[in-house]
Amino acid sequence: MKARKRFLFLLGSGLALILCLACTHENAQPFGAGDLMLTTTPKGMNISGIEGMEKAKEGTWRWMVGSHAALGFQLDKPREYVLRYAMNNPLPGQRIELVVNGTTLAVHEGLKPTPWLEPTVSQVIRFQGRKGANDISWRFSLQNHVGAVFTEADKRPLAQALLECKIYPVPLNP
Amino acid sequence: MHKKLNFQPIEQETLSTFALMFVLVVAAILRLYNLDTPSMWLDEILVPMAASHPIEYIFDLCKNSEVHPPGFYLVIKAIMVAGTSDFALRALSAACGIASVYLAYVWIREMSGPDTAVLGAAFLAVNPLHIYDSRVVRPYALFLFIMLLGLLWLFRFLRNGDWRSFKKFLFANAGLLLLHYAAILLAGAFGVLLMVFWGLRRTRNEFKAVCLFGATSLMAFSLDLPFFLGRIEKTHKGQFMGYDLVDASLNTLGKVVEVAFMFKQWPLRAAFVLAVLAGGLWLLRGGDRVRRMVLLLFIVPLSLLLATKYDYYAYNVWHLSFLLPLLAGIAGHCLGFFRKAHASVAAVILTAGMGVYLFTAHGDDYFRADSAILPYYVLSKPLARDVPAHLKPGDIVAASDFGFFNGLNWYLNQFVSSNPVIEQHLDDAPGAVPLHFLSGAGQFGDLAKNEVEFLEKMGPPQSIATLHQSKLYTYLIARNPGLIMESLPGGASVHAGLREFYSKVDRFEGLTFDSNWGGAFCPVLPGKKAFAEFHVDNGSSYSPQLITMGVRYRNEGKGNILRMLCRFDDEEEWEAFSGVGPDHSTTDVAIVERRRPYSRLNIRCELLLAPLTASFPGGNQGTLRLEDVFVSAEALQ
Repeated sequence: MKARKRFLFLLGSGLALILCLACTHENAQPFGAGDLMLTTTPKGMNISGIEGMEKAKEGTWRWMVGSHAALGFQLDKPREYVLRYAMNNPLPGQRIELVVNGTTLAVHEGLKPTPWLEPTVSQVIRFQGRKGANDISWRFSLQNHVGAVFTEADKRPLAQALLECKIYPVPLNP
Repeated sequence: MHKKLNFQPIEQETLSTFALMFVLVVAAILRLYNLDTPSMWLDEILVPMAASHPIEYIFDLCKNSEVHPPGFYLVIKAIMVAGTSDFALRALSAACGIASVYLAYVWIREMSGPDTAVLGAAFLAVNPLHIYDSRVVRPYALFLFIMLLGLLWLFRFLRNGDWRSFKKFLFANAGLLLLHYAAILLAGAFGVLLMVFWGLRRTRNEFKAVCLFGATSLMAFSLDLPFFLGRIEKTHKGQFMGYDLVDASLNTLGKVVEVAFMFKQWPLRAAFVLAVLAGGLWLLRGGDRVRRMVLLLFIVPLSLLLATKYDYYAYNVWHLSFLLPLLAGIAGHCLGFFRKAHASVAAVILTAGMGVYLFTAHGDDYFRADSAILPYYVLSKPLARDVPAHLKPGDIVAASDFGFFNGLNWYLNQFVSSNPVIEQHLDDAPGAVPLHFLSGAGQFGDLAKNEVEFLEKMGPPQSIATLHQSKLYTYLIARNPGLIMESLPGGASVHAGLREFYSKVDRFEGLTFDSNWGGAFCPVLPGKKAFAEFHVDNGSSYSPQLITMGVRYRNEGKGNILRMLCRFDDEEEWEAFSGVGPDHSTTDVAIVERRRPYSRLNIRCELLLAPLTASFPGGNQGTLRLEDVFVSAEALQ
């Protein structure tokens, strides 16, 4: 009787699990390359802490908000990637730390504000993408209304204006 | 009164047999004459077009777009193994229609004798809606056939307590539930009827019948449930309770009158309604308890429709087809009040008169190449006969929408050995190429609201040909393949607009234009090779360059593949990216650092449509759309 109950419990649990998987299964798109100034969310990428594109006649930017902004993507095999980014800094004394898959790859310290939409930071970095989940994050020491203020009107915790962000594998070109 | 009706001298039996033969012959003629002549209209042609896809597509269609369960699609899929001609596809409906007339006779005879039965059968034989139902690739004729079988078995059970008949009735009811959602209303009526009988007789048998009926109905309907819930959630929410009670009730009651006589000849409509009323009154006054149940079966589903304020924009008379056997059963008793009435003679007169009338006055509604119950849809069959004469090999063809495009192809594939609409391709030869734009019934998709707007956008055509409800606009598109990237930073792009794509593309195959959502090019068929090739000339001599190349697209279909391949000059081609649907992204890119000089970047977009995700207009081309191809480059330090 006990064995029968256990069997029925396992059977029920198995069916429930299959049902849950069937309900939540979604065709996860593999990541290839992405340009954050071309599309809001590049194919196969998760984005947090980066607002939508804003345009003016001087150019296009995306606000990075909060204490950190992150990009996540999945790779089906290890591959070397290039990360190109440029940011405009509005906050004096800003410190930016770039962390890729848990390793700090770049630190930009003591940044001074530069004219609007001119790059304060411009960086090209190669990193080894790993099979499975990959994570790129920028950590900011200051944000608007958090440690410093550069605009009273905008209440968002603005940290940096992202001017360029491209991620692509190398070497793609034969 | 009904005793007199049941008393049948031998001569009268012979007369009713003769009358029945006559009714059946006329019923067969009305249902079979020129059966393959009329073009399938939109609702019909969607069935075989959908059924020609895998079962997964049919299930997806019934869950997300179609308003019917998948049962009839699966039946037609089986029939299509034998043939796909209009006759082959409609033969089941016609056979069911003729057999239903006989079944109506058998059912009514067991209730009220052969004389009444033959008159009831005659009402069904010449009913314009039943004739229509019997001549189209829709589930109604099959539904009515199974319903009549069910009625026959149910009434045998009610009269004799015959359990074998009841079990057969349960199967029939299950079949109805798998065929059409109207069966839910009917099952409600059957359930009420069985409960009334249980209440009247108070025996265990009736209670058992109610329980068995409830259980088997739920089991059968549970198979439909995912589809039913999908439809309720997506489109049918508003069909119940969303309308004014009086408006919805008047609409439904008006449609009940149309079920009795569909055409707008008011004297005939009134006569048929009077026959139903007279038959109903006689059943109320002179019929026994079992016979009165016919009225209950008629009233319950109707009351459910009225109580739920059922209505919607595409609520048509044929949706109430399930009332036909009941109306015939009631109208068959219309002469019950007349002591010496010869219902068989009346049946012959009714059948002959209506037969001649329908053949002469309504021949255009049933038997001609352009006969259609709703006149405002493009009829693909006559169009497919005439279109090839206007096309030369190598011409390119675009249509205003995929429903129209697929319908046309359905018949073109039967009429011509090489279908010019599907065999779309263009090579890189210079010069101009003829583009034929087919507009269905004044429709231009999202390109334009009307012809004036279309001509404003596209300019004056070389020629316009009117082909039935369609128009064929012919343009000469000047070919100017390729793009140039003048300087750095710079870019170039091609939008999948009607003129721009055909002008700028180097070569393409198996693609056709879709006007929706600002324009796109889609594969013409699932599984068919489709590609478009472009080239971008590098106007800047600077190197190295950081080059971004990509597409804007939609890939909503399961298993659809979109791939981009690139090649610098005559170097080896490499895959820039590929994606398998369903894909929620709308842009894909490849980014490369090109360190050596190059003069030309060649781009090839490959599209493969999988036949798994359904789209309403009989195919699923719109689930894979190539909208833009773009390249941008900047100098690398």
